[in-house]
Amino acid sequence: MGLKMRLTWKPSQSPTDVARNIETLFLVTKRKQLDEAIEKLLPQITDWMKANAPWEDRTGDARASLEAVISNRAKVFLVLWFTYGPDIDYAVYLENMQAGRFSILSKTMDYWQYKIFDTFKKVYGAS
Amino acid sequence: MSTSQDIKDVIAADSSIMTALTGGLYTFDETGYMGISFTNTPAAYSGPTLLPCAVVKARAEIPTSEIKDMGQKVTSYVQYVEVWLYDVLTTETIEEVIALLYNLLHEEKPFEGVWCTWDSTEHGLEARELSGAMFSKMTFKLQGLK
Repeated sequence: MGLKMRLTWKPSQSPTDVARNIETLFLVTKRKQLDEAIEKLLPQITDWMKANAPWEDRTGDARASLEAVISNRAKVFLVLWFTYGPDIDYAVYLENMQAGRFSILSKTMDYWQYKIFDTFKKVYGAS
Repeated sequence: MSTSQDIKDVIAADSSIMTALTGGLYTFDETGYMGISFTNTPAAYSGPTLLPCAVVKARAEIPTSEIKDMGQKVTSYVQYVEVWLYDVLTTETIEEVIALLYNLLHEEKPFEGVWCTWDSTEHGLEARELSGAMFSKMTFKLQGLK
């Protein structure tokens, strides 16, 4: 992922201000890249959840409602949910009955968490 | 031997926990895919009543790439292990066992090559398939190399 920034140094600015601006610009740019990278993953995660939910469909509603979404996009954090749709009132039952026999959310977490973490590392350049 | 069985063996060696779990301790492999039931785990019942019991269930091993040696085919991994704790009417025994499990497994090496930390506990859930028995789920994170 390339990083593009444009910085203008006004003669009246102190070096401290410039350094602060560079830092802010870096963080804002990186954050935008992270959002874009995570958004690219969302449909992949959603498809994976629908394909791997272990129950046998009756109506298909529960499977169709599975989704990975970003629910909160604040300055310093991003909340990613793996979720059933709001109309699936038996979701708790699917997740918890018979010691998680039909659970999909924890499996999704297992499968995707390190792929998501790798995305963070790629964006922020951590090794 | 499976991770579930390894963890079960560690828990089973703790007499305080086993005294509390009068309905027994099982792995998910032992209960079968139906979980706790009259058929698969009769010792978990006293007549029609479910006794305090637990099921150990290991989730998949996930490579983490934090430690990696391609030549030696070594990789670090994490594996989450869930302990499902069941009881009826009251959660006192479950809460007691949760505290004991924390002491037994958190920040410990339960067996060679694996470091275990407590990850989360979900309290006061209802097991509708067991006529509304209460359950809590305690999750531990195992980190190791293979």
